[in-house]
Amino acid sequence: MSEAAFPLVGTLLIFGILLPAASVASKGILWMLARLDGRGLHRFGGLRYALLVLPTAIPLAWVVSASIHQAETGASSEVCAVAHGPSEYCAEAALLALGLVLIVALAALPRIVREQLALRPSASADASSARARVLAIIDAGDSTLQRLVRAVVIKDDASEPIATFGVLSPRVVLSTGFVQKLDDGALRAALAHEAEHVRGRDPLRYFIAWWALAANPVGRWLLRAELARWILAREAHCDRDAVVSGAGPSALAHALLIAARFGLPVPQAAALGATSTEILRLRVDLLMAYAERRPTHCCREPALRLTALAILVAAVLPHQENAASALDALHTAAERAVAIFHED
Amino acid sequence: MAFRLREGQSGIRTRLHDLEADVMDVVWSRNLDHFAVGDVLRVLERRRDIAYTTVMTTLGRLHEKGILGRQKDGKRYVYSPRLTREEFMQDTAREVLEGLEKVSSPHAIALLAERVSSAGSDELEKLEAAIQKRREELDE
Repeated sequence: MSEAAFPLVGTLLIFGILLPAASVASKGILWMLARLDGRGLHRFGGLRYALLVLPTAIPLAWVVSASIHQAETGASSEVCAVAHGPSEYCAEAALLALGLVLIVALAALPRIVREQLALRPSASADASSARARVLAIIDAGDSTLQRLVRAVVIKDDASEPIATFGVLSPRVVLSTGFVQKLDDGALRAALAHEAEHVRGRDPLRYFIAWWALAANPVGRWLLRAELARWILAREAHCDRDAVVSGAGPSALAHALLIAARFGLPVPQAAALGATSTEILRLRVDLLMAYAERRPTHCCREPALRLTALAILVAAVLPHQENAASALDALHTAAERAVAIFHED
Repeated sequence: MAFRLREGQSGIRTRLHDLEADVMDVVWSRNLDHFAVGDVLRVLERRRDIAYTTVMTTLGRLHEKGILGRQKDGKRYVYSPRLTREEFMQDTAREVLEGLEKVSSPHAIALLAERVSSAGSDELEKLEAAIQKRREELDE
């Protein structure tokens, strides 16, 4: 049997059965969580995030790690021996690991490159004057805003009025036109909102979540709405933290509206519309509630740390004695599937 | 607490009827921690004609909905809010998000706000005017 059989069929089994099954389980837990968790918008944010990412990340981390573990001994595994004989070294597990790592890297690379390109500042006079104004506001701000001193990029042709980019090193990218449209209070509030994204390393969080669904088509279909809800709750959380750090609630609401209407009409108008208007109104309503009674810090859940810990455990487990037997089961299943195909 | 969400409404009116919303607005904006029917009636009377029994019935309904707690104090009830306006709005936001049948594709970048279509422009202009007014009141 060809050495490519297991890497190919194994990959199909992983993406066709293992990841979808994990996504179904995750969807079920999220559904139960929504019914158990009767209060608030921000509760269990870290757990919800982990449940979006882990159905893809845990099986892949585990399979890649188990494959490396099996290949690093240099000996043929028992399952390999069935097809190749005991003396012949088989590279099937190593090829599977290599294939999975390539798929993961190829899914992620274009986005990382695109993000890096988005971080190039403009050198026009308008951009320089906008930058000077933004830096003056940051200088006059508290420690929350100060973390943006080296993290601000002004672009004349930014794709969004204001957003935080940068998987490895977060940067706030502002459009020159957006800066010109806002008064100091609204600009300060918008920067405070983005400062929370920078503190929470949100570009990395969003990127991992996006990758997890990009690499898992069934999971994407099942969990896309959950991810959208998580992102909206996260945005509302950043609004709240901006107010906690001193931003004016109605100034931030004003900035939200300017950002939402920036450059209207937008080409994808039909795709957005009512839903985004409703959500925008909700965020404004929440901000108006903060105007009445200032909120306090809450709910900083370690979403990234929780997810990283689970992935680490999944990657370390196969290196324990006899813990790679599940990989052998996968290997056997793949070999049987190929054998059935051959018999036909 | 299960509420029927009211379409086309914003703020606390998304989940409360107009009179209930007016009552809760009085309770939250005046930070009334313990109050009787008369305390709310005195404020509402300045804005419109309203009967004692109407306010009493509305407070009873808000108690049944779990938004107000109450204790007997002689012949009358003393009410207290079980939720702050923020907690109530957060619950509302959660319910609205859970109930959205069509959530748009998640943006994979951290945006301040998702841009809306020109279709909602009129509504947003009204919202912007209200925010501007509030900013002037708060001097932000």
